[in-house]
Amino acid sequence: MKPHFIEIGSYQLPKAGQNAAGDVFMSRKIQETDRIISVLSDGLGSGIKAGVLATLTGTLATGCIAANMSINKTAKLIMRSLPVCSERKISYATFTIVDVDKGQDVRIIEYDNPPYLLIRQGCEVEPVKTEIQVAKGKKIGSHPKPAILRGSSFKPQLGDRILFFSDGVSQAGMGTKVLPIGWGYNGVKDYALNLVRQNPDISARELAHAVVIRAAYHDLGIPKDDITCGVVYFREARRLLIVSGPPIHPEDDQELASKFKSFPGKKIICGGTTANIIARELKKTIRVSLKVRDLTIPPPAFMESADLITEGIVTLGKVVEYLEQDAKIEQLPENSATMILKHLLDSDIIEFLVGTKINEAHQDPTMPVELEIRRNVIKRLKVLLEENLLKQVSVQFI
Amino acid sequence: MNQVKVTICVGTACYVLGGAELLGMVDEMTAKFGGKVICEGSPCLGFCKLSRNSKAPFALVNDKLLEAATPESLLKAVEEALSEVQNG
Repeated sequence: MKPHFIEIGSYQLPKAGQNAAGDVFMSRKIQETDRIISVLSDGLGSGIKAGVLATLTGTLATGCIAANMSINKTAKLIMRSLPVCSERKISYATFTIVDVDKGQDVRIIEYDNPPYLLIRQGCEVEPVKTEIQVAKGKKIGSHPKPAILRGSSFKPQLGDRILFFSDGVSQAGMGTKVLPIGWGYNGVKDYALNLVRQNPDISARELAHAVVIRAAYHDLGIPKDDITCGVVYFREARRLLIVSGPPIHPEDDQELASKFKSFPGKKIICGGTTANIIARELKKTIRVSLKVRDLTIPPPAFMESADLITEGIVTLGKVVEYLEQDAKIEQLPENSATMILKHLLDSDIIEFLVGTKINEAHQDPTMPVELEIRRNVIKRLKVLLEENLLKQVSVQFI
Repeated sequence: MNQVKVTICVGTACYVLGGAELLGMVDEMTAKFGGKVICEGSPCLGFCKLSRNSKAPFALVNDKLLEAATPESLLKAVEEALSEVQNG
């Protein structure tokens, strides 16, 4: 059994005036070999050209490691594949590759990004780094100076966080009166350590977001470069149960309520009838909130022993839409769907308990065709959560 | 009791067939009638499953069921219920 669960979070703001970021943060989970790879790459310059080169770097890195190539060999391959600017004689994209093998071994290779920060028990830990010299360009020796890559490895401990960022973070504020030479690595480090000490359970997503927003603040709200931060957080798994739909046999109602009650983690009910069944079995009262008033989505409700109650299919459909759009939760309106989304983002192991009884009222031809079959919506949600957010998802039908 | 209780169903069928507009009436009714009208939501009143002929969205004004409720019919029902309770 794995000692820890790995949460990966990132946040990014593109350079002011650019529609596309020139930094790329990407992660991939390889189920077969139980590996998680995260890459932060910063393409030279900004905008689309930089973004394409950073994407090339990130894709090469995740693809090679997924194919079981060693992290050192992958880094060398990238270095030899990257185009070198004819005038500046430097490679087009920097990178930090974090490879977590079976949740128990971390290997990191860095090339020209600010150094990563390893936070353990609220303090900075500095792993030993070895230098690896790699020739630039396709032909070895075609470039006067080899590139210096830094490699390190360690055994992660419960609560460890790896924070890595582009130079848009460490150079934020450069040229301003307050920070003439920029925020700097130490500034970022002190800020992140302080946040972790104040909020020891801060999620990877929240920490990455806070660092990026602080950097943008130092840039006086107008990012002078792409600002990207990623966090890998080793923690105990956070579990979430989502119950949606009444059981096909009413005699299973009690079992549903009992499973719901005894679940060790956060609990959400999606569906009015389902909520009424659980409330009846557990002898609880449901209160619908009329304060959250985004009229495109039915309002949330609350009940003792549930963390959230929402309407079913419309709300879950909206959650799928948000995930498909890769929407930033901070920019979404407050409604039941964003409340579910927040729970999903903050959880590691997500279990769906799906009732398969068909609501005949939904089959009325006057109902909008968008009202899909619950099972299909849950299936899409599962794929999105697994592939885009690297969550561990299971679905049980009742 | 001089208050009128309005319960608006926010289940799927009701919500997509106009229940959202009824929820939009909550502020208006609170402003117009003050504490005389108490508004609340219900996850599902269950009327959509009772009969094929019944028509969502549903709302309850005290114990009176409103079918195919609209903001106008809801307001009318609330005013009628208020005059009933006031006239004793």
